[in-house]
Amino acid sequence: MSTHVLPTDLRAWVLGEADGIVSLSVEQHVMHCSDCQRAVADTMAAPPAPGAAPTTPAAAAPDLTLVWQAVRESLEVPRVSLLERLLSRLGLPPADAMLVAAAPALRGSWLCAVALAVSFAVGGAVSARTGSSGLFLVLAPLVPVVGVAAAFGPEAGPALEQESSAPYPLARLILLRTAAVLLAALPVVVVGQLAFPQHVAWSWLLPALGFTATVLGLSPWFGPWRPALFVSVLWVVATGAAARVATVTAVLAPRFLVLYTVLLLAGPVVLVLRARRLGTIGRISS
Amino acid sequence: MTPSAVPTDQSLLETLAAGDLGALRQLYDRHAPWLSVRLLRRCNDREVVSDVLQDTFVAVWQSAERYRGSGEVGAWMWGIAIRRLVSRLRSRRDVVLLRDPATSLGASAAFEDELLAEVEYGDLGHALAELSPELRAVIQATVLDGLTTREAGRLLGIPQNTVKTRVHRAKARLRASLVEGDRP
Amino acid sequence: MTTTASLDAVSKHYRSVAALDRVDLALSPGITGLLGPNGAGKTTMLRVMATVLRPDAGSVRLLGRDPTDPEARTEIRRRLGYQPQELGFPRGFSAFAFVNYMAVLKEWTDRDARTAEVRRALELVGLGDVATKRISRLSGGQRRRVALAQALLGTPELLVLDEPTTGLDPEQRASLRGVLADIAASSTMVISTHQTEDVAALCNRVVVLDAGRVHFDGTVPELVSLAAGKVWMAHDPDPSALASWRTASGRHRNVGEHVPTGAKLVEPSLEDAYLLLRGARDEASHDRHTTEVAS
Repeated sequence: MSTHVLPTDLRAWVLGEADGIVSLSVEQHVMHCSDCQRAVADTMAAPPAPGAAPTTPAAAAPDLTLVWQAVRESLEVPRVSLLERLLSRLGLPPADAMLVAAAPALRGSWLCAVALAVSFAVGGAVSARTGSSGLFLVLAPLVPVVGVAAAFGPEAGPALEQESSAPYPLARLILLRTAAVLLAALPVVVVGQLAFPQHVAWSWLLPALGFTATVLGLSPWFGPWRPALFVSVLWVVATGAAARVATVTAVLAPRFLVLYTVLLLAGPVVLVLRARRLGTIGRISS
Repeated sequence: MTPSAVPTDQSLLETLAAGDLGALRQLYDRHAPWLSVRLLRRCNDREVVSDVLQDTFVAVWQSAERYRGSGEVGAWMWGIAIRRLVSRLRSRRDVVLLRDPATSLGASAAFEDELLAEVEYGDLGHALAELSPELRAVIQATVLDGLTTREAGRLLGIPQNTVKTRVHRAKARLRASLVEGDRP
Repeated sequence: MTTTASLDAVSKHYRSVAALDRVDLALSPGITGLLGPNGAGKTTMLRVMATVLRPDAGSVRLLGRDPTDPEARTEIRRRLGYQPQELGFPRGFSAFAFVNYMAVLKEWTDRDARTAEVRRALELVGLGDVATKRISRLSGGQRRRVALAQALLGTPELLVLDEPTTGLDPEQRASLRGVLADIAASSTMVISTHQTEDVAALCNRVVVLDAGRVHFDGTVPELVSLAAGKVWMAHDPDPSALASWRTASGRHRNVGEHVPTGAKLVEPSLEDAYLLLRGARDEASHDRHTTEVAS
């Protein structure tokens, strides 16, 4: 026996005029009857019957089209992330905030940053006993270098060709992202600094920034990873040689500090100039 | 090419689980109307019902893969919707109990009998009609809508214990009604 | 007729190979097809037109401005849409999210207007229903359409599309041609393709590029007419023909300069003309060593 509902009952239910028992019956039925579901939809879509009171519940029903648009929007449009909101709060225009937050490398660099912070903490404990902070001096400047390379290396720039043809200045995009990655990476080395003995102090910061700038400056020609590797190797060799000849901190002698400062100033300038002249950055440019 | 059959709810769910927004749209066009009416009968606030409807379909999208095909899609969606409504209700003023027009009992008994014959529950429908509105409301909330006693309490604006006692009483009355009066 | 884009003696070298060799070209409103084998320099040329690449020599004018000037370049890019051949997308983005991201790069700052425009672009390429899917989960043809959608943002005046139909099945290709035809009515479009059918179906003009040089520049009928009287059907493949293949009827279609007397001539197609052009070029330079340049 198929229990169907009378069309009049269905209509009454939709308009809110049916009593309790009829409603019970209709509701249990409509849940699984596609014909009645369609009838409900039709009744709701139809204009109100002539002479119907303007305050009938059907008029009070939600606007289904509007609700659908809201559903669609909440599924399609990507949510404003926490990072974006933070950056906007810091004064960055919302569009820039979105672009920086979208940097694919940021996720990875956060993970690396945490891992490195942990290893620095452990290393600090170890070196406190042995009294050597040389290893820290060797590693600390390389952290932001690697971070920056990751910020706009090939993994971070798969859409580079498409991005290049857009009016947004690419150099600015890359610098913003680099800054964001540095913000993620620097706390790591700050933690490291705190874990390690004082006498290295913050002097590793200058080489760190100088190398980062060098990577940025050389990237229009070589991409970011080759300069990053080159700089890293050079630094490791230099500190090794310094440790052999005198102490590790010899690499922080005043004349070298000048060199790092020069690199720090020159790097971004070269990057911006070259990028502006060519309008492109990375592997397409040469 | 096979004749274009109207896709079943199940197949629409499968398609939308794969990321097809068009399938969700079809499901929405089918089910949103009756869901909204049914929700409106439990809460007469249009804004709340709109929000609940929106949440329901977003939840459908997100949990489509978890639907194991047990039971009807309509019932599953109602389950999501009513729970969303319950969790959204804060003010008791929003809730309206089942309405019972004055004409439901009495003179139009024959009319009533005719109606009850169509209720899914046959004899049970008749017994339900004899319950008072409060008892019927808890039965609807717990048995028919599938809410827990706590959720039913929130929906109806009564303490959970009251729900329990009323359900107990209602079931006793229904049992008595069915045992004694199965011949009109 | 206005010239939307022009290349004047443009050259581009990669190491010792000339990807583009003193190319002259002028584009007007309408659709121009770019045909040529792999390594012909099509992608290089399109990159120059999309301001993504700067030539070593020659001058370029796009939308009336000179792309070597930074301000002009930004202005050009505001009215330009580019779909590259090599596709790449950042990880973890849905189709909608990526096109939305590109819209931000194209200076759509108002969120609501941007959302509406992104949706319009995705609907246009037929991806409206899968907008929320991760790009990594889309098929190759769908990913190409995502790249096309971002190129279509803002209805640009100059559209540079590098192989837009590659990876699409015949049905998708047909529907895409419809979309492109509609858009081209109000813009200048240049498409590179391997499929002569795309050119025949869509383009007013066709440019044939080979080893960095323009070998033909004219209308489609003009190109087709090059093969007039040089296409014939025979029972067997003709060894004197430049190209010969079996048709559905079982007989062989032959294209060549030396038509045997009394051969059954047929109406030439665009493909015939293209083959003839390629063949003629090969014969003239068969002892010149050509390196395959990644185009």
